[in-house]
Amino acid sequence: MNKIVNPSRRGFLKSAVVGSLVVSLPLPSKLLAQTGTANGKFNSFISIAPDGQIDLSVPTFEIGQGAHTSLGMILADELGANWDDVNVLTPKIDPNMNVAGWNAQIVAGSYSVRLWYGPLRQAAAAAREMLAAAAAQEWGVPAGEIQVSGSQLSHPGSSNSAAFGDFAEAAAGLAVPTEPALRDDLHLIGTSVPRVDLAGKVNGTAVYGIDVRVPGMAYAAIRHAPTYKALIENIDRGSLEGLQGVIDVVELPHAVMVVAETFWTAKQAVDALDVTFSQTEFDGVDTDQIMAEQRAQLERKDGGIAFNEGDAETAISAAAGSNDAQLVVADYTVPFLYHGPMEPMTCTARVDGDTCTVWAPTQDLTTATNTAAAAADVLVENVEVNAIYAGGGFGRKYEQDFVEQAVVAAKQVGRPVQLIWSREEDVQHDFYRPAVSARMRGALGPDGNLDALAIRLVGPSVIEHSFGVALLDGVDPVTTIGVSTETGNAPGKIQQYSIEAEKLEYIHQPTHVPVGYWRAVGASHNGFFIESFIDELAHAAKADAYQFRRALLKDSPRGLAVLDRVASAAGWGQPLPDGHFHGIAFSEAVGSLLGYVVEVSVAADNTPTVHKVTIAIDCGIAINPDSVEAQVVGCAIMGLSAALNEEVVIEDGRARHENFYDYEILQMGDIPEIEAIIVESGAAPGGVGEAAIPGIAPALTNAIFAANGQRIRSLPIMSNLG
Amino acid sequence: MQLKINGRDTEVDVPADTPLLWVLRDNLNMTGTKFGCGAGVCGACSVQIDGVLNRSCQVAIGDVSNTEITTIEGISGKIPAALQKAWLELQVPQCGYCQSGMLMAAAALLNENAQPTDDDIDAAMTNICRCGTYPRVRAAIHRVASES
Repeated sequence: MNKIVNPSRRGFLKSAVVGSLVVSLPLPSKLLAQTGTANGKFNSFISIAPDGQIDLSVPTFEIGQGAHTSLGMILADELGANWDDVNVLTPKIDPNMNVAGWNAQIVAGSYSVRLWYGPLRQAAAAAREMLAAAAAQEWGVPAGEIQVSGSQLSHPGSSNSAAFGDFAEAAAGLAVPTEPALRDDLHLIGTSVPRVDLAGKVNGTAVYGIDVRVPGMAYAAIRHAPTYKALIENIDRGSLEGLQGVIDVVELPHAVMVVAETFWTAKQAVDALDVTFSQTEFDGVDTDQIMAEQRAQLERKDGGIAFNEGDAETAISAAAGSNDAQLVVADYTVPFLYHGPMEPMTCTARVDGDTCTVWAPTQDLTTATNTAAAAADVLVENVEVNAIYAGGGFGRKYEQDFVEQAVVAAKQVGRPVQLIWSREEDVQHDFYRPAVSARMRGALGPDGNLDALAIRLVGPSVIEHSFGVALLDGVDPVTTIGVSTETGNAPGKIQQYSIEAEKLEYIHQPTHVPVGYWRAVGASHNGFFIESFIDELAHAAKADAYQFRRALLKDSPRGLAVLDRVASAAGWGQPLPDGHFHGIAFSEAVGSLLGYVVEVSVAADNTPTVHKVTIAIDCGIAINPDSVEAQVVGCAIMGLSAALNEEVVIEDGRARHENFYDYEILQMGDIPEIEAIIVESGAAPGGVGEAAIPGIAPALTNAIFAANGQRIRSLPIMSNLG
Repeated sequence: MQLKINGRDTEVDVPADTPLLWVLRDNLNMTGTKFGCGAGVCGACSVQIDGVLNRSCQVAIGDVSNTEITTIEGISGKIPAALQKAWLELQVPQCGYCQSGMLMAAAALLNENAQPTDDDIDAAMTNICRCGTYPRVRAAIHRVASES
């Protein structure tokens, strides 16, 4: 079976590459032009039944981030719907729901709210105007005098009023207004509305991908070749003799599946199966070798240029040769990281002749559809992929490997098949956050100002496996995410900082280890590189780390506001308990700005204890503040876990780790007090789901430096204590 | 094999070494109990056996034929109901996948200890949550304890 690369994904590269995202987009005219006259369907997003039930089909999938609620709120508020009348639905495949700039219907990049806020308001405003027009026609009054709220239409002058349902069918058949007026009396947006998906998540009734049940379904368990790129050489099916309930063995180039009547039978069988894997040129590769290769590449001066503003090299050379200026240089590394969603990879598929039906906890419905079509060898039009609640995604369920495998198994055995990966397979065959190295160079002028900052990143290309090309203009645009602004109004190229000369280079160092999109992607490491190094520069300039950042943020009112807010809330500069120290960081990723302060103490053996994390976030309009708080706290915990403990170590060409007992994720007792503060700027919504990852690690390591003078330049912290 | 699950008698025909987790999920279609790690670490598969919290992926079905098994679908009574209410009031779940296990563990904790301290909660709640709902889980347990 060949690797399936969806050519349509390449479309994104031209238009939606990081740094050039437009936050609020006009609604594509085709989206509004589509009217369904039957059944009160106004457009792809809104249907109203005669009984008043309002079905809101939101454009993205619920993977735990609360998007269904936030997007439903945007539609309902602009429409003038009573929230209790609303039913939020998981979308089917629908090109009108493709994320702007992509040819795909995805949950990624913390896009859901920031890219859909404008279009959904317009779609809802259009439906509202159509309802008003239908009522106006019936009542013989001007449409502009109709008031719309609480799922009711009313005309005060004539005392007419009616429920949405009364006019839904007539209204859906009317001409669609091309420039509907947005209302200014929003009341749901900005309030903490309880999530629509939680009731079933406290009583076991919510259906996740792994809970799908299809009549006649069998189960598949999988075993990949442990060394990446190794092939299946031989399978001795005789080793399954005597096992009851085994249906078939499904052979893939790099993996083998056993299909059985129950998962437990399939799992036992695939474990028992005598499989020979090929040797590869990577069998001896380990983390030390991978990092040594990256280290060597750090010396190169011919990397791809992401940006080069001002003349950083001249300023750096001048600082190196100067008595009163300073050149600061430091190298940093981060390890491979595992996504670790609590629901492992799973997918259910059925292939009936020339049709294919899939149930998948997916972050990319479009590519899942194309992948299933290719794997089943049927037409794309004959494929239906149902997006099911994901038990966590974090970027892992954007991938298509598990979808392809389930479809292949279902086609071979001629029955519906649910594939479930064991945790061991999930840990060992992830698309990991790549290990990346960075060389940071900063030129401090005689006055202590940062005159130039140059960043050189070395790492594998994240886009290569999904887009079929490693580089775009010499750079992997995912590895460089989180350096430049996504709010589009930054004074400079690096974060929100005002620095005269700024340079970002990328050097591609391939690895055989699969890499992918881990929460916050490039920003997960670039935040660590930049904010650690800013701290080093502040120290070299003999400046307070907070004041040094304030000076750099002088042209960013929003940046200053979050930094000031977090410093004040955490009591920066105020006395702390004996032995406690603060570290500070700033980040701007996925269109939101954040300030972080972490409070630590450090034991005599250099082991840190985190006592408190304070975060201030400006995500523009916070659609659902409680949900924003949940995501910020969740990011803080995932960020702390990664910074302190997490690393996937490669040995003998494969991951050393097996399960949660040796890939340790923070638990209840490890969690410090975390305070998340929302700073309201009124700006257009930014992303939230990944926003608070980038600054956690550096705020923590900066606090450790404040405590013991030890600068941790490689993560995770616990593997790099002095 | 005879089983009593959530107060109801049921019968399954599976090898005695089959983990309870997979009997619940595959044979009985009781999918509220989740598969997380299969190694007894993460707690997503937690159930009560004769009132004692267990990781069902580590329990052989042959060992529980004469017991009373309670799953997330069958928890009832004052403490579980109060926990579910607090879980919604504080909007605890994110992806929600680990929350069946979290609730089973919290119910077992409050059954033993009506007023747990933070240390008690740390010791009892060893479930893994990748979304990072731990602070809200803690707050919800405290809320229920404070109301009892």
